[in-house]
Amino acid sequence: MSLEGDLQALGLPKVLQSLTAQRSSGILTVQGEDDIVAVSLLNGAVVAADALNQTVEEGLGEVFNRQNLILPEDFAAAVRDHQGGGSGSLGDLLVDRGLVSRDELLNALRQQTYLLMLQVLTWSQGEFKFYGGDEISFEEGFVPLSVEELLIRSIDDLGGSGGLAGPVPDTGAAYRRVPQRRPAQVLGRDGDGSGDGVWISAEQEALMLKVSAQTSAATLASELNLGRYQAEFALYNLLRHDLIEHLGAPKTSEMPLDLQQVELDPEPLRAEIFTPPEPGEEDLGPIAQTRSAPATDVIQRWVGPVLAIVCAGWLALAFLQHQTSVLLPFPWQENQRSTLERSLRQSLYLKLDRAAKTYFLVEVHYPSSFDELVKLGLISTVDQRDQAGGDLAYSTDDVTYRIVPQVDGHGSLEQSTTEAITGDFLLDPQFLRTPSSNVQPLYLLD
Amino acid sequence: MVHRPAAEGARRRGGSIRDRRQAWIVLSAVCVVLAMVCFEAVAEESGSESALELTSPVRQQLRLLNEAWRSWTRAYYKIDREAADHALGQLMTTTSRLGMSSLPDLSNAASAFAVSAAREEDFERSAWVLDMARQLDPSRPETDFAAATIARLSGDYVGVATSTLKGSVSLMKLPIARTIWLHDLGLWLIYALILSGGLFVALQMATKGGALLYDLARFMSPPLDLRTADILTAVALVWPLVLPHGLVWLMIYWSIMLWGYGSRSEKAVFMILWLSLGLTPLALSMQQRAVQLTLAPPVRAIDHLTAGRLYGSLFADLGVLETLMPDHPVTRELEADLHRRFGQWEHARSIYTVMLDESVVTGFESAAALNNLGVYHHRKGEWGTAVNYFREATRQNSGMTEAFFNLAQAFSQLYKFSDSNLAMARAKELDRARVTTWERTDVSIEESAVAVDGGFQRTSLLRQDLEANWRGAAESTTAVDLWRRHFSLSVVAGVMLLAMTLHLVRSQMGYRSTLLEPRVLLDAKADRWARALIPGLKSARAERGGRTLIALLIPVALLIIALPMGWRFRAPLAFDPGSGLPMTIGLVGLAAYFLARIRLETRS
Repeated sequence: MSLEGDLQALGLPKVLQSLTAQRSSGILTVQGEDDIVAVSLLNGAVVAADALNQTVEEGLGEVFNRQNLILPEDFAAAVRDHQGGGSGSLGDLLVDRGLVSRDELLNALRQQTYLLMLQVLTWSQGEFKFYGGDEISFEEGFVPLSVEELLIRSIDDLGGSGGLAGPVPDTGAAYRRVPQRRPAQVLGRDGDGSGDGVWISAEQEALMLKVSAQTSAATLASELNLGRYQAEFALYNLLRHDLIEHLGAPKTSEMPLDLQQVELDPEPLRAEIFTPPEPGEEDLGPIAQTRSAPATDVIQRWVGPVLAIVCAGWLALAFLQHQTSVLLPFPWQENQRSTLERSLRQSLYLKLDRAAKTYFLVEVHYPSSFDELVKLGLISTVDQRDQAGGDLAYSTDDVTYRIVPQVDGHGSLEQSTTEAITGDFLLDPQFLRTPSSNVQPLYLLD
Repeated sequence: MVHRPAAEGARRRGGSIRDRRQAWIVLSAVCVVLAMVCFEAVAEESGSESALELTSPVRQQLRLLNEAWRSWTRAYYKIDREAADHALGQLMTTTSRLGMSSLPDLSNAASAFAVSAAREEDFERSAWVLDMARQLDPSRPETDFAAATIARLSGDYVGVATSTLKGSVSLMKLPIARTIWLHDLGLWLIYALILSGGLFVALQMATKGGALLYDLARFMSPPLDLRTADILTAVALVWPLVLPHGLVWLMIYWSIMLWGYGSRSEKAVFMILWLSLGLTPLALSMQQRAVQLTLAPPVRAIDHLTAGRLYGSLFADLGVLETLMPDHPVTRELEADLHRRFGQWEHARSIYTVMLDESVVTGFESAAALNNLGVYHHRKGEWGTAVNYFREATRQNSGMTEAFFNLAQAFSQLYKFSDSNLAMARAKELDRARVTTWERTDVSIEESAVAVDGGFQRTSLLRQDLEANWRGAAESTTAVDLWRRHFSLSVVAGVMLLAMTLHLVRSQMGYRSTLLEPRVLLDAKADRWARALIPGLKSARAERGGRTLIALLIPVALLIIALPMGWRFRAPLAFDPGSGLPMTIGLVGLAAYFLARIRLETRS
């Protein structure tokens, strides 16, 4: 079997799901921008992964370092010896030297494979090619990494950048079917997944048919012999296609079931799901849908974003038009709003006064308009408007000036200010005039 | 006939004070009430008359200043640098005679002349005028901002950047400008937080609105068909818009409805935003008070006097100070210190004497006044009286170097050399460097005694009392406002309670956990662009509340400073960086932020 394509057209998660569904064995090579990775699959599960630009030694070293299992110098010495012609694999050498146990080595190899796969999942551009074949080499005792486990864990570890996003479903919760929302077709029974519509695996269909408000998904998954990640992935896929909905805790009390114990199923992984390449095509087909369902779906998908856009736009408009109402939005804060506006206006008036008085020292009269202050660089154009964006009307008789803010096209006298040169000994010629005195002059007679 | 200027001066001053106080009784009452609203009102009421009685010699010096400035402007227009230098020398000498060191208003005016010359493309004249502006007041950031304007006019953009940077550094050294800048920073952060909070709620609605609608529609669907239920629910989601101030109620309503759908971190962010909304009125109230105080004429006068800056409305501003705090000992001492600096020793002496009398009752520390009275008598050659005052000053403040130094000088004049040596040894023990400087100063023996600026040194006390008086009055007169401010916190508490109760009820029925987004976002390319261009979308999908808020906070904060708007307080500066610098920072920051996001998303 040979499968190849572009990662941009068909994301890696879909490729892996497709290979899992067909329980394929062989090598999947993925060529990204910076590296090439060869993924070994056995019966649809990942059993090894190697990168061109990253050696096994580097990967293992990083894992051991993170887990604090081996001292870096011991590991480096083992690598040197191995490269110097030591027989067997590096893993065997590490076990032989007693640096790690066999189980620890296998766990580390599995973790290294997982980390490499995570890296590959983030690639959005590149090419892939699958070479089918049964001759796959992997470490003996390696526990296969199921595609379901890989994808579910990647949701948390990559936060959506691995192709899958959203929360991991709670298997302890109960779910119920959403009637007639999507016609689900079962891979194998209804076709090979190449047609339109939503395709699910037989196990997922079984889980979908069994979900109820009384029983948790974990219990049902256990009854269906599904592992933890298989159950989570099945729920994730069913929820994603709106085939079931989350209800919360089951209504009847039941013993909590730990799906972890059935996770590492020794049986080969079975085909479960195949999602058509273009998700948008789901909308086109289903004859079984009721007439109202697409419209409902559109409303549900668009209502949040549309409301959010309107709201954000409104917020921006409110800020542009009346900034203080953004800070103090409640009706009973009217008084405080006007106090804040008055404070902002006062500081602006003081700045304008400073500029006008500086102008007076230069020209021996107040400016005839704000433009003259702008020309001298004493104020900027922003300073000609108040905090609400309203223009400030300016008038002068050379030794006094008045600023009246324009509110709704009218001058607001109560918010206006009048300044004069009086009181400033540098501007006011009267200031230094010697005060007249009523005291009689004193005559000294010789 | 013996002419006793001191006694007459004191009597005249006493009479003058009484007269003016009588005349100002009504005025002061009005002023004090108005001051609770705004100090500026007081400034207007106090008029142009100076609170500080100026003697003819001082008036003469001030006239000389004006004449020197006129000479300077004539020299500017004639492009006569030599004459301008001469006028500048006169200006600085006169300023020094008045006990001050710089002339900020004239420095600004010189900067304006420099810009004017640059506009006429006379950059040579512009350069020397700007240099003189620096000499008139070396600490003014306005000179650097004017230099930036001139550099822009000459096309020197490196000069624009360096001068703006230099000016910004100087700005931080100016107490008033620094305080305003810090409050602007606070206001900016509050704006950014509130706006980001609104957008956070919007983003939550974008990512979880579908699920909310779905759940609400399911709740109604048994009697109604699915489509009708969906439409009705969509309408129900926007009903608060019909209320007055609908937008804020809509945001709060959504946040309550969406709170249960959020992860722990998202719930925490909602809580933080609600609390911010409740605490903002209190924070703003404190901020306004601090800004108004900073811009108030008395504080302006204190700041300038402390730095030795003689500015045009100094006397009017001091009038406001005396109106607001007429009996404050620091006001008196400050006034006396200023008289002394201006050389009006008789006025200074009479105020210091009144202060000493009052200190017996008030217990206000008066060592500086005692020392300065000693200096007064020392200048008159009354060594015995001077020794008494200096000795009393050292008793009240055993760490006052000036008093010990002066005592040594006075003892020496009385031929009490051993006492003089002892006092000098103590002075040197306290501060050898300063004593050495005083010893090297070439002055007559009468002028060798060193005065202490007690009032100037204690202006922080005056500032604190001004703030306390004003705060107390403001709070007592605006109890309703106080209630209104705290009412917001009660509303926030109610909102939190409502959200939690709703969550408890809703969790029995279960929440839909599926992300319902427009199908267009299922396309990888469209989704990538959406993630790059909508900050916080990726984190909101991953239900990381803190990251979502920060992702929104950064561009919102940058956008606020990029917009040329009057949301901030202005520092009373003749030249400032204007809106150009923050706009540039905001726009460059926004461009860098979104480019980085696009790069990150396209790479991943």
